[in-house]
Amino acid sequence: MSAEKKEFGRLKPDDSAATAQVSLPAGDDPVDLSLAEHAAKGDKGAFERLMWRWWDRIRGYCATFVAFDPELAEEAAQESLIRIYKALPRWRKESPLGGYLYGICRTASLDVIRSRARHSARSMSVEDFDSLSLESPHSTGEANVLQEEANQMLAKAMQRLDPEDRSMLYLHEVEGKGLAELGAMYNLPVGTVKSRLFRVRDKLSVMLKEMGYELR
Amino acid sequence: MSSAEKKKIYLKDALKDAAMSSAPSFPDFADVYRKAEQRPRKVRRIAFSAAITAVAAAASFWIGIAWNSQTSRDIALIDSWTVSAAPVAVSVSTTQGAQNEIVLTAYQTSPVNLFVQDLWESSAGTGL
Repeated sequence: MSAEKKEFGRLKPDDSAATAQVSLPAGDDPVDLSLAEHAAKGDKGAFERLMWRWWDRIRGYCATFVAFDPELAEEAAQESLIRIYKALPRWRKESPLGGYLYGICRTASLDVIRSRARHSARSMSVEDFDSLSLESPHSTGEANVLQEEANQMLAKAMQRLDPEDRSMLYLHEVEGKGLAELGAMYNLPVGTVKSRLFRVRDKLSVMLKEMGYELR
Repeated sequence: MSSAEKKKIYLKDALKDAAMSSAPSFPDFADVYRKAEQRPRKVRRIAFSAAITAVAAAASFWIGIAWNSQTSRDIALIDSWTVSAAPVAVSVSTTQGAQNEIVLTAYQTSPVNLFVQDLWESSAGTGL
């Protein structure tokens, strides 16, 4: 996917709020709450505006959950939208909207993974990593190519993690979710979330080290 | 970028880049509404098929029960078997107490005689 396509996706012309997608706090934004209330009553315009505001978070979460497989990511994101649209009328206002939406994305992505037996995110062998290392374009000397290569290595290492761990790490690192929020979202004690994140990061670090990279 | 720098991966940025580059660009709302409306119909269709199947299974079960109880009233037990020169007589009683006697005017080793003898031996406990 090209960078300009991504930018266009973020900057939907008729939705000025789309520009602030990533920086918005999850769940408790009054605009989100208002849109969710209207969407729950069947207002399709409100639903679309809400989803545009959440689109980067939804697609990022789903893509991470399915180990960055573009086809599965598209299926998971679209399935999430369908389920959110159907489930919003049942949303209770006392529960955080963010947790509710991420919960739907989580089950939708999990179902997509289950329904696609051909997906083998966790079956990559060490030889695959070696072959990826051999394909490294070090000789080009271009910074963006090296960065792209580093991202590919991270993606390959992430594929070996459990989907739940991947998504939890994504929410913590990229979306800035705290331990308590993650605990509520995944129905786990804070201590368990903390140790799980530590283990995941450590595992990732070891895998990347074997591939010659240092995780920061 | 120095050689020391190029081997570093900044988790937050790399994760975000990997996710955004593999994620779809646009939501397809038309598809969302279409599928959301199709699903209840699909569920209703499945529920209707399941209901038809359940009714058919229940009906066949009760028909089977009725059939069994109907035929059991007509069970006949061959409760005796006597062999004589000829003719051969077979006494038949039913569960309703009716007593019947079948007289076979055939010789002891004739096929019909042997058939009745087999029938008697196999049905002595359970009836016909």
